Amino acid sequence: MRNLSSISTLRNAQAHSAEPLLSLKRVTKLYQRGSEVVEVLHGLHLDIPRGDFLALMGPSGSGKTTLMNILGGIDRPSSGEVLVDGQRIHEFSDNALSDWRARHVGFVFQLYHLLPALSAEQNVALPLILKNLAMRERQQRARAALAVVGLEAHLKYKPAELSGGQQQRVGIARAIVTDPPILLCDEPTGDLDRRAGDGILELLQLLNSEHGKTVVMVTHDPHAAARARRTLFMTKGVLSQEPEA
Amino acid sequence: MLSLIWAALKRRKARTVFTFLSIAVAFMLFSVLAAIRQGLVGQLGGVSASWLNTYNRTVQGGLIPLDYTDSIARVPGVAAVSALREIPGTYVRTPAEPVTVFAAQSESIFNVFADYRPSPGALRAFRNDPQGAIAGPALVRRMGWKIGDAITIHSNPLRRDGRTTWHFRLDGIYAAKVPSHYQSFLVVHYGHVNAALPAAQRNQASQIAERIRDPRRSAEISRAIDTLFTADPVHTLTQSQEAEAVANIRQFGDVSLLVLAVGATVFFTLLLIVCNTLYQSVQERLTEFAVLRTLGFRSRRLVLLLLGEALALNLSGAAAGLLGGYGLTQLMHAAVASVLWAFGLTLAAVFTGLVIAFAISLVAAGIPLPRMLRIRVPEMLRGV
Repeated sequence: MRNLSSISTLRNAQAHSAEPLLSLKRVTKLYQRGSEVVEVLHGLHLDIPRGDFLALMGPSGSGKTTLMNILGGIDRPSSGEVLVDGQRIHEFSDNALSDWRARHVGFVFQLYHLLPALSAEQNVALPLILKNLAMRERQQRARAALAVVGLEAHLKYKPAELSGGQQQRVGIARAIVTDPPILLCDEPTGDLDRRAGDGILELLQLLNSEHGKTVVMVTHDPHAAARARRTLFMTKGVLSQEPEA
Repeated sequence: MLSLIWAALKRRKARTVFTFLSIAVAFMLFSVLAAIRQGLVGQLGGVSASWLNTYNRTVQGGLIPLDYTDSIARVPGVAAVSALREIPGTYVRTPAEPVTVFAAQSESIFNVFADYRPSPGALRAFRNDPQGAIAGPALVRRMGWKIGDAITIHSNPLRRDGRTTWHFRLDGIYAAKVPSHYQSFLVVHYGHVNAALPAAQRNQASQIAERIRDPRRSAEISRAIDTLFTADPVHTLTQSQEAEAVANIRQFGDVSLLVLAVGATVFFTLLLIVCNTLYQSVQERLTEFAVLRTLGFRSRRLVLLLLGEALALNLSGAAAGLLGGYGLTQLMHAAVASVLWAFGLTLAAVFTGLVIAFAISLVAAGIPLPRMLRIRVPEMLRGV
C-alpha cells in the first residue's frame, strides 16, 4: 500500500507555496429550473494553496458539488474567474478544458463511477489512453497506482467483484494514475461504512502529505472533514469559515 | 480504445450475440441473393454480338440441314461459319457428370470462336486424327484427363450399329481465357460422328454458329440469314449470343426484381435492429460517457468509440455472414448451375456487402450520437 516508487513524481517540495494553485474570483452560478432562475453560487472568492487538503462541508443543495465541478472544469461559472496555476480555465474551449482536466485533475466520486465491464486494472488505465502510451506502459502505470491504494492483488477483478471500499480505492487509483496535481473528491466516503471510509481518508491524507496532491473534498461527515488541513462551510451558495448556527 | 470497444460489446453479451447473429444471417442471405443475381446477369459474361447462332425455328430443338452452312457462309458480313452437332453425354468413368460434346466441321469452330483456338501443335494433331478431340480446360481438370487419353462418351443418339458409346482421343486443350461456363465443352470431328449415325440422322446440325465482321450489324445479318430459308421446310431463327443471353435474363426479370426487393427489406430490417441495439447501449451508458468526458476524453474520441463499436459489430457479423454465404453458395452451386451457370458469390458482391455493413454502421452510430454528445456531465455524475 505504501509502494510509491512507481508513481512518477513526488510533490512534497511544492506543498504550501504562497501562490494559490486554485483561485475563484467573484464566481456565480445560475441554473434555470423551469421558468425560474436559481443562483447556486453567490460571488464566491476562494484561494486554495498548492498542497492544501480542503474539506467543503454544508447541507445538501448548498452548492458544494457545483463549486467542485467548476474547480475541476466540468462545469462553467455564470460569471467570475477560475484560475488554476495561473490559467484562466473558464475561458477555455470544451476541447482545451478536456485536455486540461486530463493533465491536471483527478476525480473521485461518491458512487465510484467505474466502468462495470472493465477490470480494476483497465479502469485505472483509462485516463492513460489519452496519453498515447503503449499498452505495456499503461499496464505498468495502472499496476503501480493500484499498488499505492493497496489493490495490487485485485488487478483483474471487475467492479462487481469488489467491496465498496475497494471500488473507491480503484477510483482513487484512476484519479492518481496520470499524476495530476489536484484531486477533487465528491463525498468519497459517503457510500462506505466507517472502517472502509477511514481507509479511504487515510489514503487521501497520504496522497496529500507524501505525494503533495492538492485535495479538495466535499463531505457531509465532520469525522471525514477532520482529516483535512482545513474546512470551509458552504451555506446557500456562500462560503464561510464557520458552520451556520 | 480497442479495450473500451470490446468492453462495450461485452457489456450485454446476449444482446451483442443476438445482434451479431442477425447481422450474420442477413449477410448470408445477401450472399445467396447476390449469387442468384450473378447467375442472372453473369450470363452476359463472355458473350458477344459478334457471334450468331442459327437454330431450327420450325421445331424447337430440332435439327438443321447441314447444307444451310454453305448458304450462310455467303451472306455478306459473315466471316466464319461452323455447323455444330451437339451430343449430350457422360464420360463413362463419371456417369453422374454430364459432358457436352460438339461435333464441328474440321477446325471451323475455332475460326468462329477465335478466342478458343488451341495451340498450333494441338490443332495439327486434331486435324490429322479423325477420332481426335479438343477439350475445355475446366473439363480436363474435372475429369483428370491428359493429352493422348482415350475418352469414351456414353450418349444418345444411338449409333447406327446400335451402340451408345463414342470413342475419342484427347489431342489438345482449347484456350483458358474464355469464361468458365465455356471451358467445359468437348469438340470432336463432325465427319467422325456423322458417319456413325443412322442415315436419317446424318448431315444435320443442332445449330450453326457464325462470326460476323461488324457486331453492330448483328440484327441485320441475323435477319438476312433467316430470310434465306423462308422457302425451305426448316425455317431458322438466328440471333447473336448477346441477344440470346439478354432474352434469357428477361425470362428471370421478375426474379431479379424480387431478389433486389428481398435484399432491400432484409437490410432495412437489419438497420432497425442494429440502430436499436446501439441506441439502447448508448442510453444505458450515458453516465459512463460522462465519466469519460470528466477524465478528459474529447467529444471526437467518444464519437470514434461509438463508431468503432458499430463497425466492430457490423463488420464482424457481415464477415461471418459472407463467409457462411460463400460456403452455402458453394453447396448450392451444383443444384442450380444447369439454370444459372454463373451462380456464385463474386468478390464484387463481397465488397458491396462490406460497404453496406459500413454504411449501416455509420447510420446506426449516427442516430444515438446527438444524445451522447448532449449529455450534461455534472447532471449525469449526480445520477440526474
